[in-house]
Amino acid sequence: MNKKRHSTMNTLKPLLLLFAIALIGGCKPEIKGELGEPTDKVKGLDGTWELDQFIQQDPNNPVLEERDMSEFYIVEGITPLRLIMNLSDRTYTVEQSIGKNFFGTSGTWELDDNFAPSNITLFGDEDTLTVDLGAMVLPTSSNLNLQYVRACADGFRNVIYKFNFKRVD
Amino acid sequence: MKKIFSLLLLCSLALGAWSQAAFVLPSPTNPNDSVSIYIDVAQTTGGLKTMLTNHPEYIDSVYIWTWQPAGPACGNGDWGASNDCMKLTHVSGLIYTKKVVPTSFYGVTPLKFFQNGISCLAKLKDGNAFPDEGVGEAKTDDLLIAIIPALCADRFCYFPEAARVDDFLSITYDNNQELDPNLQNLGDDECYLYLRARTGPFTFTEYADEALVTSIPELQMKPVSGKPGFFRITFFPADFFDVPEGLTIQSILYYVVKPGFLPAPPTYQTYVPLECE
Repeated sequence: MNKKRHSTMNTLKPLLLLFAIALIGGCKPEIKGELGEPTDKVKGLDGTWELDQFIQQDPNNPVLEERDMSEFYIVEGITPLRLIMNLSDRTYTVEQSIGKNFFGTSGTWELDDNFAPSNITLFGDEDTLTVDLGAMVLPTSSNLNLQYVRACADGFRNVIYKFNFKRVD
Repeated sequence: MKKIFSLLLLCSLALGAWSQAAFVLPSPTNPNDSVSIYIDVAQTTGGLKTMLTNHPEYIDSVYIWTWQPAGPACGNGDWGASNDCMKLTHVSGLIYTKKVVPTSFYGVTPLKFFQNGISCLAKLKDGNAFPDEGVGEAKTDDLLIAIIPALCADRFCYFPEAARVDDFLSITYDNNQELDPNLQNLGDDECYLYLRARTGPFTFTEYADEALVTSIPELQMKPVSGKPGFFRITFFPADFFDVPEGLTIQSILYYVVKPGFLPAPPTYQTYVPLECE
């Protein structure tokens, strides 16, 4: 008899739990007002970006070692690499007087997805380069992190260059 | 606590390795050091497993047949008669092993070894043995072993491990491991590198004449912060060497010099840049 009662209780327990959750959920206040427009990720890129840090990473290293190589791009008294992104015509210009130029001089740009971008393609005068976006760039963002993953045709990744820019305009 | 955690981590890595049909130990792997290749035939498909079960007298007659990162330096032999240098050592059950130094066993650079891994299979000396068993050839299926590179602890180390000629390349030199007494205990401003690029079998482009090296700041290796006795140089090979148009850098050769001392004859170190599309 006791056994049967115990079994009935076991069946009821999940139902009681569900009921309690529904009760608590029902007590939540209704959301008022609009959620607003989704944040514009394209607009966030518009502006002048100046290189703040340059990092090299070895994807084949067991601890994925990174080295700060900023000294090759940032020298006191010299304006570091600048990337000027225009939203209106989706063009870009590179201003650089020191360091290896991976970005070319100018061209147009395009995001892989305007609402949830993960990379940006730079269609340069001589070459096309696709780089990963380290984080979402909003109009209020002060940093733009680009990751250039170099890979062979067979998919073997040999190096990753991380360009961390700060917004200057 | 740290020790316990490390032990657990090691155990889980070892268990992970042992649950594969083929693997190497140690992993991460130093391509210039001794490495054991293991094949667990029990975890493979192909006729060999059945044949070894049906013919236990062949338990000590299993060979490795390998083609990547390259054919072995001593040769696989013929399919019907493997070379003796490819014989595997029986460990237990259907587990076999072979100890090799990858770069010399395959005659490849560390880069090629890391990039391609090891492709191999286990077989009987005669891969066509027991044709009437009805289980196919006397071999396992093809096995691929991916390699995790070990942290470099050699006298000369490269960063990144796989650099192209148009990548930043760093060479780090551990003077603590220097064998030449004339170059031991270098001062912070005494370490220079003579560098030249090989562009063909007999053609080279040197950055500067050997006699001028110690007067050129670009060739000075800088002390590595926090690592006494370590020196480093970083350069962009494609721009660094004034290679004649139409030629490409096939390898980079170098040796250490210090003011007032040039090794004679020098022992060249070689770095082979990654070539890929």
